[in-house]
Amino acid sequence: MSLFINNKVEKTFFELSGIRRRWILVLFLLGFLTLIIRALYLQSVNKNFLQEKATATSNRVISLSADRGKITDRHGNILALSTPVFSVNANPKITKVKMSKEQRAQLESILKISSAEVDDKIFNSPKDNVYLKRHVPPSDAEQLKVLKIPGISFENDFQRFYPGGEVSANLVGFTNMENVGAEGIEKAQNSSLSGVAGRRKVLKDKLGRFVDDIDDIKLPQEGNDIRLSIDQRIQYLTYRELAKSIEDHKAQAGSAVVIDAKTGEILALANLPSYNPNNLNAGNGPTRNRAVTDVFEPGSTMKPFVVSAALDSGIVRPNQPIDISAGFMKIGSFTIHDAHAEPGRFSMTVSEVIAKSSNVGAARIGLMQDPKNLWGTLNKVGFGTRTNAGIPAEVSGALRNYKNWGVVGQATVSYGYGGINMTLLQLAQSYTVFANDGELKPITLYKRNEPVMGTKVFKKETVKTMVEMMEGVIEDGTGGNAKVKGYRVAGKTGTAEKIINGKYEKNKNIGSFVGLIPATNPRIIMAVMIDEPSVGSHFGGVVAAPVFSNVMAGAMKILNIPQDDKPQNKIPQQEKAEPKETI
Amino acid sequence: MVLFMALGKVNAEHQYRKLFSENEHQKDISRQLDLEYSQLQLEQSTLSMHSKIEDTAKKSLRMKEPEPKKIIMLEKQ
Repeated sequence: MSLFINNKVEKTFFELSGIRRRWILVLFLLGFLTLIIRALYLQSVNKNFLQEKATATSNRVISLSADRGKITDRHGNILALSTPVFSVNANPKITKVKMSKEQRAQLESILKISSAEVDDKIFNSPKDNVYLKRHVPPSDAEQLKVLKIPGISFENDFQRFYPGGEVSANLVGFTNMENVGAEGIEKAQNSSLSGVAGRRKVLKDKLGRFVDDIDDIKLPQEGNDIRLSIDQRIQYLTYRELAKSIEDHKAQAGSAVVIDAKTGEILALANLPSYNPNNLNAGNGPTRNRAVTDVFEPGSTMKPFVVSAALDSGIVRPNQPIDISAGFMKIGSFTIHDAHAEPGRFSMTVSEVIAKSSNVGAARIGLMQDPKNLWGTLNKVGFGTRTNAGIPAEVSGALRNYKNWGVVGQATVSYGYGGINMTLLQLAQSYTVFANDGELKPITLYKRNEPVMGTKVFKKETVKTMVEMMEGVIEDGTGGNAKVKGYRVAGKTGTAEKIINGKYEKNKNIGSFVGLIPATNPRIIMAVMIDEPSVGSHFGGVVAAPVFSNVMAGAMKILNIPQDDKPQNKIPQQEKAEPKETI
Repeated sequence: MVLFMALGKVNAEHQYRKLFSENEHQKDISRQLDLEYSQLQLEQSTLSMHSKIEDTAKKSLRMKEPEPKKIIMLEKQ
């Protein structure tokens, strides 16, 4: 019985507990199922969002900015350099900017911005991220950091400085706010200068210190330094003397190029007007590098090539008299006349044609030649072709095909007018033939470490004769102002009327001069061009030649080039010191 | 044993982070020095400008260029 009862009791207990147990089991299962579903949901559907949230609190990706390379002159003197500065940002949409009146006043005074600007940028800005001010010097940024204004953050930035200022501004150029080259070498060499930014991912602790690298660090690739062939000392001299001549003659503009005659390296290239690349907002904006972007008809500086071509092919001899018809020559209805004509003089030697810069004489010598050969020579010395010296925005100038010259065209080309124009840089390069026994040297703006091969244009003897003739220009011709004490100089002056709307303007001229120094073995070539001189004179011999003289006097000392026209100073006789006997 | 290992790991991680942070600090200093260097370079180039030297030589040192007559060229022996 007891067993029965016992059995019954136990049975009812099990039955009861069985139902409860199942219920509880089901509940538990449901509970787990919900958790699993939730977990699955979070793991799959919301996975990315949540992971970002989690890492955002402790992980940071930092961009490692690459330094922009320096631009230096040939001796390593700095022409352009980046220094670290800060940009002051606010992100009002994400972090509210809170500051007291005092803090705000300090902020405004440190950043030198107006109260309205702060309102505009922080409180009324529709943008997420605003720059309160860019390129803030580190010292100012330190002062601001002390204020600890919530919502104001600092970003590393770079600012470019140009110690040379306007002296080399047209050449070096400048960068924009984003540190991308906008003009000049900065633009041409931008990819090489700028380098590649790196990045690293770090783990931060609650105090904001970096405690670990999470990912591989991608190191920034620093920008390359660029070494130009410019010599800053000569560049400065050139700029100063050019500015002086432009000022004296109230000219519109001017350019000058100095080339190392043997290596083809550009030692100085100055243009005026210029601008200050450190302060671009100050009125006068960027101006172009006229020596490579502007073409002009060269005028008489062309004559040495035409005469050399004639000498080279044996058509004329240096002492041969040329008919100059008292400075007038008619071809059909076209008249050529000499600017420096001597009345009653009907003939000149070839040397005198160069020294006195006779247009008629040059035209006659030009017309004696086969047009194809003459064109070939002018083409070989680089007219109508870019120099490819590595300067952006360079133009090629023009040299009209000989088939389209006609007699008048051939005559005018011979003294540098009509159907020919060039940049000052091309003109300077073409004169390298007179410094290298008739070889034209490729020119460059970047430092060369090895000598370069040139292209042979003239015979050695021809060049020797021509340099002597060009010495005559300085000794008793149009280029007397180009003399440099202690040195022999060879050169050629040029004066050309400007073409405005297809017409030659009598009162608007370009005065130019190209010279070689020392004439016995030319080391330096300098070409100077003065645009629209209006006071004193418009002749190249008056406006441009003195620039040559003054710059070269300095450059010869800077470069330690021995004098070839010695004033015959004797070393004062020194009494020989008796050799002392030493014990 | 496991406990000791675990504590050791925690300690090592802590030490690592401390050193890492110190390293970062030193890198900051190096960056500061870089900045100073670039500023000094700028200053040097500004002070060594030809125009500046010429100005100082002429005005405060009263130097002048020698006349050609007074220059004696020496020949290579």
